[in-house]
Amino acid sequence: MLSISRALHEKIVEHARKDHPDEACGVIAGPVGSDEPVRFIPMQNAERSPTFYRFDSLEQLRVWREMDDNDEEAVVIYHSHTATQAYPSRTDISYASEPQAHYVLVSTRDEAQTEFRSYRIVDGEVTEEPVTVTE
Amino acid sequence: MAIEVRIPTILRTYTGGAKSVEGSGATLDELLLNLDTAHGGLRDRLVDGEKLRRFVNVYLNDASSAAWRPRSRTATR
Repeated sequence: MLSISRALHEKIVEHARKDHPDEACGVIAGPVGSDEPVRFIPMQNAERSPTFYRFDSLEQLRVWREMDDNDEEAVVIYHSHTATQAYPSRTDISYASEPQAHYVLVSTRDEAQTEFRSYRIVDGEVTEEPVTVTE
Repeated sequence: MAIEVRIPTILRTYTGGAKSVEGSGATLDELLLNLDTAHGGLRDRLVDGEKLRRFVNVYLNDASSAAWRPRSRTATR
């Protein structure tokens, strides 16, 4: 289950809306082992594509090193889909390599309504999980 | 000459939790083979046949392999 504050939930949705029609991506860091999303880190989509996302490799190095120095880990790894449902694609699944992370997918295909779903992706297997938004 | 290799969290199970290990090799290929003798299984996470696995980035002095997408014989210096 993903437990996330309303403020962070809003930040993800805002980022996705802002970058639409390109896919948006980023990370929320939290203390190692806490499973608590705390620090919002929007990142560049190096593909700048409406159908793919990929972290810029130097930004990825900087973000991951910083988390390591802070004793943090990636609690949420999020990205958006702009024309399809909020479900991980085969590429998304093969790109996922952090077993402790909650993979959040947002869809901005509908202007009025943003879909927000979360998944665990371990060894190529996808399991959807419930999302609890806390105040 | 020893090469300092920093290991991301998800691969530290192969290094007994160490954040950084030492290895040697004149090329990336040699280095990965060398690391694998002390940390068995590490190379297989990074290499598929002759090539780096898709989505694996190797940084040489902080310059990204995404830019130079190495062949296995790329020099480490």
